Amino acid sequence: MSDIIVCQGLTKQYGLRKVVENLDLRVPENIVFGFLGPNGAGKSTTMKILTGQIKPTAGSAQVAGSDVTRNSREARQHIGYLSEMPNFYSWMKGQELLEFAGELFGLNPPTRRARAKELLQLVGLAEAGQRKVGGYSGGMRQRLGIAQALVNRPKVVFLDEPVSALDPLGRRDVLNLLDNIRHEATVFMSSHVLADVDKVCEQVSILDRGRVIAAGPTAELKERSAIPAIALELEGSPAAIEKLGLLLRAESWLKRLTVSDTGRLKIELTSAAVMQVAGQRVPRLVSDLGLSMRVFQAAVPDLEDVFMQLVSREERPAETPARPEVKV
Amino acid sequence: MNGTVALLKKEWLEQWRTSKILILVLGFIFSGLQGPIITKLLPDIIKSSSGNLQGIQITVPEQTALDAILSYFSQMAAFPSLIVILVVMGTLAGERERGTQVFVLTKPVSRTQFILAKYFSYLGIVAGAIILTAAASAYYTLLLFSNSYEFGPFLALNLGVIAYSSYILALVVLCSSLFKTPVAAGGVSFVAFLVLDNVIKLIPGWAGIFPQVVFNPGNARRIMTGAASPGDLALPVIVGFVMAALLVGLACFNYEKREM
Repeated sequence: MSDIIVCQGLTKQYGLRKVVENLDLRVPENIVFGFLGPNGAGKSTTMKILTGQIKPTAGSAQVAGSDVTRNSREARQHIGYLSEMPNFYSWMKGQELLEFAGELFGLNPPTRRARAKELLQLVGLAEAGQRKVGGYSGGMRQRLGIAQALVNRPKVVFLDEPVSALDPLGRRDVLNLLDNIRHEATVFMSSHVLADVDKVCEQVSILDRGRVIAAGPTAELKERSAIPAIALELEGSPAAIEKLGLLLRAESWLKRLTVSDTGRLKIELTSAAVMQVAGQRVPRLVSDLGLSMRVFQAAVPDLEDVFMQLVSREERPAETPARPEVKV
Repeated sequence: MNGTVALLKKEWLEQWRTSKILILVLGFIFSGLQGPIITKLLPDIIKSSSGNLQGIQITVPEQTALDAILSYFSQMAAFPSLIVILVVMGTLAGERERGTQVFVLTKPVSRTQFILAKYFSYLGIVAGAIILTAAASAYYTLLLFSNSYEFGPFLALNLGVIAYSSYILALVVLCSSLFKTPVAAGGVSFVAFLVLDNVIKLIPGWAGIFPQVVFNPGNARRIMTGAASPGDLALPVIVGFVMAALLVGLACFNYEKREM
């Protein structure tokens, strides 16, 4: 699988502030790629560079074989883009807007008319196609935005927060849609809804303060960065629970054990690979010690855990001045 | 090329649907028609108001078609320019403020195409509005006055009005490319319009080479009566279009460098 997006040393600086810093990125063809990061991490700026809206201070970026930093117009022939807060000409009808987008890509009249109808159907706006965009709700505008991003059958679709304005049903539909278009195009999406990214993205890159802090296949990243854990809730004598603690600490697969007074234990494992071993060993130890289990949950971490762990691990700048040290 | 045609069509459709065409055309016609109508009614207006001025006798010379035409050119100087500023000030700044330009500029079209489509679509409408206004004023002048006038010089002077409007339009497009809001773009356009007009009048020799020359009643009279040749307008017309080209060029240059 070849890479359809390649960034090398991409940097964007405003004055002294580096919004994107020495970013290296490779995105393979025909996948849904998640671009994650907290607010102000540089996701939208990177997307703007990759779609030719702004020029980088340093570095290079290739999209679908074209250098966007030198000839963004050629690259734009092969991309689709949906901005974070899409806004379209309110006086145009939905169908007209898509036909206009098609015309900008040089599609002939019958082709763009047919494509506009097809896309309105695809995003669930077939009935609203003859209504003015000014009367569309936020969710409808978002769907229309996705449709216009697909009008040229792009090789890469950049979607900045594509599900942010959608209700749960709309979100589900759009995620299904993204899942389907991966056969035709590479989807490069940013989102704050990590559960959605977890569902559809094969690969992710996590950005923080302009730098990539983690990247790779989603499953691998979860395994690599997150801590798998077992949650236990026991009934029995405190002495037996204490003994269980001692026995667990002797196990090679234990990373950390947290025991609460109410008989709750959190057993953090060294890796997800040892989950099966631990899953068999823990109930046996509990049984041998005459304890009974009320809760036994094997919690494989999701992308949100990975994200929280990585982003909070990075030292964040103090938003408020540090308190002065008081000497007594 | 495809992109330019698509953008031009979009601009005209937008200006039609948002009634900008109507505002421009009606505004120009309203301004221009004041020339012949006020000239016709002037003696009656003065006669009715002089009743209050006891002992003072005002003699108004008989108004002619030529007076009406000269008045028409005077009327085309200021008010139409203000309408152009008000209608066009948001053409780029408004799109940037609303975020609609991102939709277009992430497609394979250049920012220069985007600006040129806007400029030429408005120029087409303004030129059309001037032609309609000139035709309406010419018709009313013939209708209201018994004597006639020369059409050749009248057409040449109107070409000067088009050249003047083309550079005022370019000035507003440039301001709209420089500022983030339509109000700021409109305010600066208005100030720049006043400064340009007055600076040109103040510098000796400049007044004759800029298209504003057509609004000066003395110059217009000389051309209309044959005392000066319509060919004398060639230089001001060329200067008007060259200035328009420079200002639009600056707008394109600025927009190509600008970050969205």
